[in-house]
Amino acid sequence: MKASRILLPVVAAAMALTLAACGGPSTTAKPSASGSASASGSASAPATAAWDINETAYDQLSAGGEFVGSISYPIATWNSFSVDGNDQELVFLESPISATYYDFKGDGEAVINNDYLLEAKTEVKPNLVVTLELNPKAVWNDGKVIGADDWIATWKAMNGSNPDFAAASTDGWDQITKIEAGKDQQEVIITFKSTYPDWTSIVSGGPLRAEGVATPKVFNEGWKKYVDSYFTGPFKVQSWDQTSGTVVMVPNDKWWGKKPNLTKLTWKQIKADALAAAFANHEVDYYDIGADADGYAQAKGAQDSVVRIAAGPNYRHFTFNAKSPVLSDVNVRQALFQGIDRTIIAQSDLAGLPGDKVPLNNNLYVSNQIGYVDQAKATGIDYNPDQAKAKLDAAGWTLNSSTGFREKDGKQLDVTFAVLGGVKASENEGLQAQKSLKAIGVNLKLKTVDVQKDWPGVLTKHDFDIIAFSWIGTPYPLLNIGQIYGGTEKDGKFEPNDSNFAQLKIDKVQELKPQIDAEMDPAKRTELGNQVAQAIWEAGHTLPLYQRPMLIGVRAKLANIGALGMARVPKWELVGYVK
Amino acid sequence: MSTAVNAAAKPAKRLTRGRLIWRRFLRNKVAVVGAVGIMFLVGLTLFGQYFLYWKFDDIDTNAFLTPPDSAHLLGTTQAGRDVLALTVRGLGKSLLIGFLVAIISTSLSAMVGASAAYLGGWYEKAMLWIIDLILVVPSFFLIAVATKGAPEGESSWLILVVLLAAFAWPLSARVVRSLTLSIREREYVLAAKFMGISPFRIIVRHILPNASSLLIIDATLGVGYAILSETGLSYFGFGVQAPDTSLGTLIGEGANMATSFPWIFLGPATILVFLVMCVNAIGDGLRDALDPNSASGGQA
Repeated sequence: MKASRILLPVVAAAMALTLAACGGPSTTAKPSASGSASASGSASAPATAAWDINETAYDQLSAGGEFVGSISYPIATWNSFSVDGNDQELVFLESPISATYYDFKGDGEAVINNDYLLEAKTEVKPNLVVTLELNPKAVWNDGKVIGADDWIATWKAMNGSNPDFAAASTDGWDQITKIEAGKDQQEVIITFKSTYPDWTSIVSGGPLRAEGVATPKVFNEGWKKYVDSYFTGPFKVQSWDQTSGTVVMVPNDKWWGKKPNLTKLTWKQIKADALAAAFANHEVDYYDIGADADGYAQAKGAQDSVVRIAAGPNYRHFTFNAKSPVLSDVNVRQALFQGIDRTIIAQSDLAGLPGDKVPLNNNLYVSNQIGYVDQAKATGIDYNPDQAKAKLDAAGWTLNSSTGFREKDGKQLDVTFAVLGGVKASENEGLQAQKSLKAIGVNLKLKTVDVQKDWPGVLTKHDFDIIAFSWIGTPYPLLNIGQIYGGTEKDGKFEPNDSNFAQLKIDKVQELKPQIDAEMDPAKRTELGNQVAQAIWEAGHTLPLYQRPMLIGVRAKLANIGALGMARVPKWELVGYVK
Repeated sequence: MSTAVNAAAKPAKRLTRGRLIWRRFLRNKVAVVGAVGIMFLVGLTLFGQYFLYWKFDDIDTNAFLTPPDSAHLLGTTQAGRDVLALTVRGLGKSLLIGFLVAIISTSLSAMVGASAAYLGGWYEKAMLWIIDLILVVPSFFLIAVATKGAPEGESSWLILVVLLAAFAWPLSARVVRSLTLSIREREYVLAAKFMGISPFRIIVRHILPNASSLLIIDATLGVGYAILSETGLSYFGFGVQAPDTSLGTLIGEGANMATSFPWIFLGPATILVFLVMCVNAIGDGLRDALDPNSASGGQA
């Protein structure tokens, strides 16, 4: 958990994207989007459901009721577009008071939200031009209509042209050449440098208020106080007690859409390790359990509560350092792929938790995402100790029967696994991998890394052969794949990108990335994406272990909130209690 | 001459000191139970690996986080390790640390306490000053900081032993000192002194044997203290470092799951309580047996 949270900023850029958004929805039948009431809380519910939110029609819910959520730290800034505010907890807390141009479904499908956006038209001529038709009823909390000026100001702050803006990520925004008003403020014309298939990743979060992003000073400092006119949405902040950290939200009287069911949202500041008890005591109504068997047991035992279960966007993985002497040989990396029993790792890490405990077999897509292809099956590189042994033999590593480990030129096949001290999953994965690799004659040495001192230094200095941590999947699996799997070529020399911790050059990625970045046909793009995914798998770059389940404890009668899958935030006006 | 004959005729009635102590010790039933318990635990750590099916580093891939059953008598951990085997392994390390710390700290307190009282002068003042200093220092935090900064490796637990011993000796050193103050005025000590025997020899040959009952009791109770300190430190992650294990690290690992998966916590915790109770019972029994002023009242 810790590791993944620390890594959030690194991956922030990889966040966002949809498949079906670009007007040409793929015809793929989607897995049923509803975990719905029947599956709720049952421990046998498969973790592959895209979401499990007790989906209930608006008119089936009773008006009234309150909701108590939590945040684990004091709010330092209300600007979730800034480096300091770019955190999933804050994004969740601000979702009732923020513009949402596209809602996401559990599998990552983007759905236009007519409350803000009436229509979006795309033209390719030959670069992409997106024309947004904004809802004229959509207003900021002071009554000013949301318009093109807000979009232009937000783009200027986020596109990286002025480094004084502490923008969380310029991804996508820097692909825009201009944003301008059309026939009036309600028509916004966004022109991209070239084609940009994942353009909804930019549009979905809406703009920020122009006054709030006008200068770097306002952008970086102006949001430390809560400014009501910078926000919009079904709720508004009634009070923010900075001493206790408690935020209270009430329905927004200016809201033009469906009337929210809930009459009050309270956000308490509660430390992560106290949350399980707080949920069991009914101090909070929503508890993101993570992969914590103890928290799951407590949440399951809480009164009037259920644990909603979906496949989460996170997955654990092993990154193989391709520059390390022993792992520079692709055959050795493939042998390790085939020598590590990932089913065992999943079963051990997820012991005590519900849901499927199966390996994830794709680097780009998670299993409940449209476009997921089982690359282990497609390439034949899956757990298979016999083939692993054969590959190591072929690579010249022969078994020394006295030690039980392989040797080549008198050197033993020692592979160093960097264990993140105190991170339970990492410790456990090291142990399990050690056991299964011993069976094929590989000596996996566990080296504990002091997380306080050397994280993420161990990654950036590449001081490991194998290391395990989480990556976070997004609704945009093909956005910026080069970040983790690619690099730049200068004078014929390959320079891996900062997050390409394997430091491996995969020709197919370099070759197809420009095409993927430009391809507007979702079906073709998915096809290209899986070609790349297969190449990544065969190259032995990163071994995905398993997808983490998303386990959310909520009150049993709460509807339209729970394990949201790729959606990440609920549609708050629809959240309520079942009659 | 009849007395001489009598003395020769009934040697069986005269008890050696050892037999006397042994008889007194056996009279204390709790202490006997404690001694048997310790012997059992020591035997378990020494020979357990020969009759326990699972080794401590075995991974049972069919049993992650399973409650106690016939295959795993105390259940398994998240990594699929057998809690019983881990407990035995941790017990071994805790016992080793306990005994080593007790021996080192008792030797240290005997030497420092006796020499301070015997030599006197500036040396005594300096030693008393050091003793007082160490007594007021918050040892837990100092050891915690020191073990975190210490080099890692197979034998890093030895540093812990040294640190625990370094903070355990002062109190008993003061007791030894006051005992020595009276012993050093005895005739045989004075005689030895005037014969020109070196102070070190006098302390070792003449003073310490007379304080031996105190030292034995102190060492025994010191085992319990050292084990508790070690588990306390390891519980908070400062003592024995992974992948090495001790009762404290095991309890610490199980504690955050204690309500939902209690078996990881219960095994080592029960053993720890039992172990310290046994050690303390033996300490009480030895006190009764060795100390002429104790409840035994000098009875044979």
